[in-house]
Amino acid sequence: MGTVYALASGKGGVGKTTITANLGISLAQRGKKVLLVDADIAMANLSLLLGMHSSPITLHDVLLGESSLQDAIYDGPGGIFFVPSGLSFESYRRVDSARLAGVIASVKDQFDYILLDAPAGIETNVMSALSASDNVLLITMPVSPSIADVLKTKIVAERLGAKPIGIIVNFVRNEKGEVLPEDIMKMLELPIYGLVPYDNDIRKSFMREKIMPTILFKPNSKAVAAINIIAEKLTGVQTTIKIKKKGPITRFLNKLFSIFKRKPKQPLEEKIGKKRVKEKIEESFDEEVLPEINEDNIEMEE
Amino acid sequence: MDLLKNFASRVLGLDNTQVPQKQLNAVSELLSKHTFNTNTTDLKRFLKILKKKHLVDMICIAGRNGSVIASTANGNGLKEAITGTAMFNYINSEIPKSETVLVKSNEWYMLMPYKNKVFIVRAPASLSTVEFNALAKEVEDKLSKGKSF
Repeated sequence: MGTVYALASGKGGVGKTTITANLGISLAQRGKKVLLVDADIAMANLSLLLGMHSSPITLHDVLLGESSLQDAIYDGPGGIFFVPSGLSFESYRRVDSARLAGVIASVKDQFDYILLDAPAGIETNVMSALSASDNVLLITMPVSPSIADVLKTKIVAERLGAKPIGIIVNFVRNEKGEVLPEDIMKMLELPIYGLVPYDNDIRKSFMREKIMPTILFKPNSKAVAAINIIAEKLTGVQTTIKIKKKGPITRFLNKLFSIFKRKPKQPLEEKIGKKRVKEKIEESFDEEVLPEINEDNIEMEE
Repeated sequence: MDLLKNFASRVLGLDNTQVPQKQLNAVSELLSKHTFNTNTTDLKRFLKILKKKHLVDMICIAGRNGSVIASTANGNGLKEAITGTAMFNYINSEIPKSETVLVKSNEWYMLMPYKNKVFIVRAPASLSTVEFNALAKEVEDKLSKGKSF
């Protein structure tokens, strides 16, 4: 019996589809039988990323009861199996996503891993994907709006009886303003499954005549290395996620660099004192800033 | 090139980003408000917690004949159970494949059969069938585990 994972985020554009595609192939490369399902019923684009957008039978047809799921499973790139979602508006309007759980359950015993690419948000289609899964992997960027949204997704998943098991932090750039992985863990009360760095190779994978997941055309890229670690973790291989902490050399270099750093502008209050700021504000009110309003400078429109 | 860029940005202190701590504190509070401990043997208390967890105003669980199994309604929920099951049974007789009945009034009334019971819920906005199913499943799991209720 396979395990169903929903990859969900709350916020759009955090890299769910990209991670789903690459993670699925990474698992397949480890000899696992993997099914990717484009559960983003309204805004399907996993098929575009896998270069399989012209499949005749899609998840829409299955959810409409017009085809069986077996007929909608295709051989995908990198040894995965794939269920595309339809791109048509008409069938989307008629689809009942609540049937997804039953549909997925019918093929659970044929695969080791079933990865659901969940839509963004917390609407009905997302709930359907979450409730169809055994485990939920939450994907976020290391910034507060993304974390706030993924937190809501976690709450909704728990309400639906799904089990959030970990977080994948994507687009990590190691900038000062990024929320640290340990803080994300504390806030979401979940372990980190992977830290995927921002990688231009991922962006470039969409800018080719034949679009394909990065893992297939740049297998040595930084992001793929991080995704491979997540795959290992899912397959039960003991891995440790290295969270960079500043070592003695880095600390020394930072101190050295700080000599050259431009000083941030001092707030006015610190520079001249609170009392003086107050006086300055009062002075500015005493000055005649606004023109006096009288009959001569008002133009009346009829 | 990236190395040079990183070096330059460090030397010149170009990374002027900052963690928005106040926002994060607000986000952290959200989770604590939505943590629900449903581990109780008191069915009434359990339903009250479920009401908060699933954001509904009233939960009434009735047998298909209109008998009350459990309810959070004022009184003992007999009125809700009888009218709810009568309405569901009527619609089910007209449309035999009925899975859920939604009634839009000032509030939403939703009826759903689940394992020989009718779940009647009043909510401020419509629940999806997925949410309704999750609620019913949670109640059913509790009822089947705790036969002492």
